Amino acid sequence: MPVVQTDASAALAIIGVTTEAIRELLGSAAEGGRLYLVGSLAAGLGSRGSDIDIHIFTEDPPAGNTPMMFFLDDHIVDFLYFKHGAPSAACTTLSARTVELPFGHCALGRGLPFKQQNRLSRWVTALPFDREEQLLLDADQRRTVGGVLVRSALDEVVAFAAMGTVLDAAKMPSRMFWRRAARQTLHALCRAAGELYIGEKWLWRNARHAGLDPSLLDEGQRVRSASEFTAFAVHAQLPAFCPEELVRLRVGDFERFSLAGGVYGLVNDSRLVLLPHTGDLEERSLADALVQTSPSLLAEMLAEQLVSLEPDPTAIDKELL
Amino acid sequence: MNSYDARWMADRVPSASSIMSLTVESCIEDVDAATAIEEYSTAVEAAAIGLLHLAHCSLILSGFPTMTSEKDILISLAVHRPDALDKIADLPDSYGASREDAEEVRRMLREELDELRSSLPIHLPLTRRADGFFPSIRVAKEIEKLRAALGMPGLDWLSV
Repeated sequence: MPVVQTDASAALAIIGVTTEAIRELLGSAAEGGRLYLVGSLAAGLGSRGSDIDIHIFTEDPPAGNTPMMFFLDDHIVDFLYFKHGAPSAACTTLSARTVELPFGHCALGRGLPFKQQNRLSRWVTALPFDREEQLLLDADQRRTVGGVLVRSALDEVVAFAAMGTVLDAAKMPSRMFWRRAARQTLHALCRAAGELYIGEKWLWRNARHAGLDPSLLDEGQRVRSASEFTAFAVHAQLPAFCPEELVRLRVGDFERFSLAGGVYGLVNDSRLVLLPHTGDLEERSLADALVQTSPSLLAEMLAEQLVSLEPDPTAIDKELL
Repeated sequence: MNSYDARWMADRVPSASSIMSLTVESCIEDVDAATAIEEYSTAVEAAAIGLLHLAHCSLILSGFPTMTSEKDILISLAVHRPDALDKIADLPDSYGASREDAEEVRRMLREELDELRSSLPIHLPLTRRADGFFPSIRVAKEIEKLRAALGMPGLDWLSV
């Protein structure tokens, strides 16, 4: 089990650094702010080579809020400013409606983009520099964040499984997608067990800390196909679902150009993609899209970012309830 | 005499090079840190992430946009570079990985990084090192000067 720290000093001791040394390094940059250690060290996952990540909470953070980097001996010190109360304010936007699943509670409603998940996961595991300071989030807020992080992982399960379904139908290589769907399932289980610091490389350490069944982990990492994923999902007590019913095909935001008789989309301001028939570029459920459009064209449209597969929160809620 | 497409040099190369010097090099450090504490599963994970980002760099260098989501990188590889995706899928299983597995994937990652880097005309110094930070700012400034001369907007260095 991880060693749970309650303030930054003990967590920093793992790498032989003190809070005083960091305050001295940051100098006036840290004046007037409340300092919190975030990241792998705060989450009890760090090692001697870990970077030191700090968030500074102040009444008046600098405009632009560019990440800053210092060096302390062999360690990188990254820090960012936030306004006082930013973590609590972020929690007010989260769904507090939850459903109890066999492995823990899960939020209803849409999951979060990775950047927001990452920030919340840092705040929910943050440790104050001063022992007298409170944690950034109270128990209710931590529970809310936990539910939303579980839901976000389940949304990813659905999205990867949907992509695997498209690639299977197109007879293209799909095993990485089924494997990712299984791994996201394990991420959801870790989060439901209270391991809320997220990151792909931490999966097995989180799973160990969460006390997940080793046979489930072994089965999860061996998943390479739809049928293996289905068997694993039963073992993981995931509700049964049909991925193509739970995602919608969304058309990307790109400018169209007529060039010598062809119509092209300019994707990400950098790539011209000859657009398919208009009917193929319409928002609809993946189930409909797989009937109306050839799977290989769907895969190509996804790869060119003309379309994306977005989890449908209403449809997923229905499966979970 | 070497000559290059100036727009490729001002756009694709810095994007790929910054992923190599920021993300992939960090993955190698993560592999080493995890190996040092005998966390071989985490070491293999970190190497697999590094190899995925290297495959992303290859896509960028051949004209694909910089992608922020792992799903976008994977689907792009599945359609455009299935061999590269197979290579990542064939890596040793990370759960229960041995020291030999960790050393093998580290060697693969280092070799592929060195190979791709040596194919590029310019490199960004290692930004996240005390001796690389200021040199990397200088190279970024030189790239921005080239971009301005070509009428290209400034790069968003925090997200390339």
